[in-house]
Amino acid sequence: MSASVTIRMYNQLNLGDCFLLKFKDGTKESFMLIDFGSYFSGNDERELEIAESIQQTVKDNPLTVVLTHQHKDHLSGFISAREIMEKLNIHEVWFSYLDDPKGNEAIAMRKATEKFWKQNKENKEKAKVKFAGVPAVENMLAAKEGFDLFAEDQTGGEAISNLLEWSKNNCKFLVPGKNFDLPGLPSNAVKVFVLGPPTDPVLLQKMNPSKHEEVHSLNTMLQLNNLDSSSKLIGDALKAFSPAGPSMEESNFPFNKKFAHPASLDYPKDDQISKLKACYTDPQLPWRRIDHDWLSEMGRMSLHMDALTNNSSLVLAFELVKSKKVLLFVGDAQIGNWKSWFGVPFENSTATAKDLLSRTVLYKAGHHSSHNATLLEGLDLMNERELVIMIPVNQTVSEKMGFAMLKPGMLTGYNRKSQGRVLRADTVFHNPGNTNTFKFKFASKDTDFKPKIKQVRDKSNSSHLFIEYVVKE
Amino acid sequence: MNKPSYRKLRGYAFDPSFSSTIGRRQSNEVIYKIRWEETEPGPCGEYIEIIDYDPTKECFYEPVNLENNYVLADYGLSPSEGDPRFHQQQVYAVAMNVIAQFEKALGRKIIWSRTVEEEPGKYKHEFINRLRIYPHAMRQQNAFYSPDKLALLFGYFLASENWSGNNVPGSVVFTCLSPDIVVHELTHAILDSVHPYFKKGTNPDMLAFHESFSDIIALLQRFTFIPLVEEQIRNSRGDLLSPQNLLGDLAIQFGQALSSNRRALRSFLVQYDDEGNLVPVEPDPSKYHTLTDPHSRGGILVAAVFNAFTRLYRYRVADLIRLASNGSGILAQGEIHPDLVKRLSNEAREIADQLSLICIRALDYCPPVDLNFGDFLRALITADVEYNPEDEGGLRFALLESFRSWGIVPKDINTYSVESLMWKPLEEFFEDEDQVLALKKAIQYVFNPDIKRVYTSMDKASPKNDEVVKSMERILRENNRSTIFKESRKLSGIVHDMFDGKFEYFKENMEKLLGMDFRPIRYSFFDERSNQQVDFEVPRTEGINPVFQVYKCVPVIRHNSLNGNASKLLIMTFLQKAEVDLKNTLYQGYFPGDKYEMRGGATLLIDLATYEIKYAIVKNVGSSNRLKNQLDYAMENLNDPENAALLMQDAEPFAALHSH
Repeated sequence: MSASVTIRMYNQLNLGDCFLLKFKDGTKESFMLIDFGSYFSGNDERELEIAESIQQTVKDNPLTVVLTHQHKDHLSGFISAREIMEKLNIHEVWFSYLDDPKGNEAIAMRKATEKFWKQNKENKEKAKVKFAGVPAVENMLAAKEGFDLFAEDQTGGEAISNLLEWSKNNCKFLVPGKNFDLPGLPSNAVKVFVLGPPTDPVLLQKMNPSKHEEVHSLNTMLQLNNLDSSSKLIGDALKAFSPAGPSMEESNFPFNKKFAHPASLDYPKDDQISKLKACYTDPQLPWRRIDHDWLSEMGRMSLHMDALTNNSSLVLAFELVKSKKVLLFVGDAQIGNWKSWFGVPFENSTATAKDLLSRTVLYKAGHHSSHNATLLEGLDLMNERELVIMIPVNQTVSEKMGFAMLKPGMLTGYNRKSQGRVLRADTVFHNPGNTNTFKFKFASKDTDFKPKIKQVRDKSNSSHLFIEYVVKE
Repeated sequence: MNKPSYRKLRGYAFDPSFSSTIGRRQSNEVIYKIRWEETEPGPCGEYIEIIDYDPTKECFYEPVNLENNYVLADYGLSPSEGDPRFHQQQVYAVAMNVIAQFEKALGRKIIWSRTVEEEPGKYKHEFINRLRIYPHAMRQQNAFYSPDKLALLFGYFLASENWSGNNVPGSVVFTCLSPDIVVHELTHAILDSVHPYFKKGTNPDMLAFHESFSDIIALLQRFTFIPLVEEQIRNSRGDLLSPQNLLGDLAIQFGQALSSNRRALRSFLVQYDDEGNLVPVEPDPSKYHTLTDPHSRGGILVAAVFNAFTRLYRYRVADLIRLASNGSGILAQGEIHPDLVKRLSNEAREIADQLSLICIRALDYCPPVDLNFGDFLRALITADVEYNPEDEGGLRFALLESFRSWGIVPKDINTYSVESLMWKPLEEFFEDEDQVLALKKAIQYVFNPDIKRVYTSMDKASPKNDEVVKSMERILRENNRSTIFKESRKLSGIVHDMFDGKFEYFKENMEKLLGMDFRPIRYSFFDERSNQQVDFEVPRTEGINPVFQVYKCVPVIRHNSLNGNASKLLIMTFLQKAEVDLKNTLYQGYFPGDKYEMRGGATLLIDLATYEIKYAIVKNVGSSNRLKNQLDYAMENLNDPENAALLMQDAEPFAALHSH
């Protein structure tokens, strides 16, 4: 016997991931749902329709659910479509080791994260009031909104509790290097390899932990702590601008207040402060002022937080043992995550990340095709002639939010490696328009794929609900 | 009464947040000797103005008045982390020290300027009196040079909670108190004033160069603090560079100072072995070909220069160690003799001085655009041959060996030797003798007032020749930086006009010798990724003279303390910009307006005694190879527009590079 896989990519009419996989070996079938979410909230109706469709397909069969990381666009469906999802026979849930709700480090991280978001929200509100009408700050805050929406308000906790409840706590927290048989199929039919998220070997080595100590995510924790203290520092400064004025502590920070002379006051003409003030506020030299540059820290924190979470993405490779074909699901892994795969030793296996990539026939594009989510060296290894790339993207959302998705830079690579066989969640096919010249013609009809893809319309028949592609044995 | 030559100011030799032990504290307080100048409270002097405005509190901090009697009487304020006035004094001392070091090496004044686009396409190059320094500009673990504001911005932040270093968790860390960081940021500013086009990341070495050059200057500066070096030599019993001592300390402080960015640098100096001991990093030539991010690449250049320092130190102290050990080379147990400590630290300081001097001077031997590390090695070697033709101290060979061990070998040389690494005279790399002759003649025509003595009586000096000579004399005579700037602009303008539209008069297509091309430029290359042949043509604009710049035209006199000679040099740069239209090519959709600005040109070094061209360091504007590399590199390093908005950094090339 040898295995085949049907990959279904749902169209959320929104930015987000939702993949239903059916592995088949002879008469045995195994279902797997990888992520289910939308970037913009309020997409309940569509998410319910998707959940129904999942239910109709999976029926009472056991289903494995994989949550790659805790961003809204990967998990909102596990909250909004509760009434349907809870009826499914979810027999196992897979998370990355970083999302272990009972693990000490995960709890500490979640706390730190929640604290960060709370402070972050306060900071934004204060900055909006204080710096209304300053274009650079307003642009920063707008861009920040786009980033924060991925993770703000921590819906991850609720989704994870739901999944644990539905699966009766039957869950796996996966660490890179693990590899095992796909449940529900005969042994040695499909092997699952865990590639990411990275552990931190440098830190492991340096801290010299005893063997049973869990220190995989120390680095992440350290960064979270730093983010938290940065965020508080900015918060203290912003708070001091409110009518209540600065706290005692803040007035004496970072120096005793006797050294500080408010810029708003007037000083006698020969006073040295008045000279400094005249120099700083010289109407000829507005370009030398630094009134708002410090607020860039707020934007940087969003970027950092986003990268932290995306780098915590669970990355799985599925190997169809007989045909040696590999399916690669990377969640939103960013470059740092990709780079770590090449050093991962697999338990009791000779497989390497390089080898798995070189045999990849289906690649789920990382982070909706944004350019920092596919390592070019990694993509270059994908040399299988039948490679198909699936991009869960929504151009409308992406353009509205100004995300760097679907950029010609990335698509040139996809085009070259898959010879144009690229599928998109929103439009099915990629129409490059006149944006660029690509080496291959992008696939534009169902029969450009072997076997041809299947499209199923939604209830209202206004768009497709999903597309399906089969990786044959 | 005469003015004093120096002002002495107390300050830290390294970041005080890492000196919590008593022993370290003592050696951390040093006296900076600053060239005397009158200052206003700030301090504000001739070159820099320190404006201690904290926008996060909308307040000014009390400025230090260095002219105050009590301050003058006691070598300035005593070091204190809690007094902003001491912070200002520290920044002032470190910054002025670096400026003096650069002026000494370059043989001319440091002049700040900026280019403003007055109306679309029309640029004005204006003089800026002082570099502005904001010691407390933000609450973040960052410090950067802003070319747009012509300012250095330093942040402060809370030391991280679970940190394994020596600092106190939760305490405030001020980046402006770290001399390493101040030197680093100021070096960015000075480098930018000398080479404004080096901040354009046209190849993987460019931003890396900015970073590593700044680190090299900061690193070498460490060895000029005699008490610090002496202490280290005492503690390590002469082995100054053992990883457990200075080297390790240095690396760790560099690493801790700005977190992950500098960690890259640190990892090029020391690393942990399997037992958790710090050991020096062995040079690895493959890294230059495999690492691409600016910090790691920068680390390679820093490591190469530092490796040269180590080689020189070991070589030069070997005799002292033999003398002190009865010829065995192995020192006896116990503390080493204080005299030996002095001699060893003097060697270290001398080597550091020489290396910094050559590194700085090499800037004048760099191409004006698109520098790579190989070019910099050639510049270093040429600068050193000019400064010290004999090389008894072995400096050049140390540089050659260490650069080779780190894989930095220029592509276009046949043998790896001083002779082939030095930049070549024109006739050795241009075949068309007539053109070379024509360019030489043109230079004589423009600059040499005694041209008749050189050529036949038919040749005349240019009618504008008088102005050129006067202008050069004035620049050499003048001490006022504003006047020097204006006069230099004027000189560049005259020289530009003398060449404008006349290249063909001298010799058809002579501009090619200067890396420019006034005919239509054709680029043609094969792109392996897409398997496509790519062709571009940049047409010549009809009707007007081709556009080019004489960006720099600087006469300098350099005294050589080694042989007592003074060399009189003229440093010129020619630049041409070709606007490549990328529409309907595989590069469409990446660049604003689908255009790419390709620059080429040359740095010319002219001997002012003979008006002969000593070196021409050329980057051809029409090089297909360079264009291909630049486009590919730019495409791999596209910035996200939303990231730029997020970081409020549309115009801050160094801010993002530095933040952690």
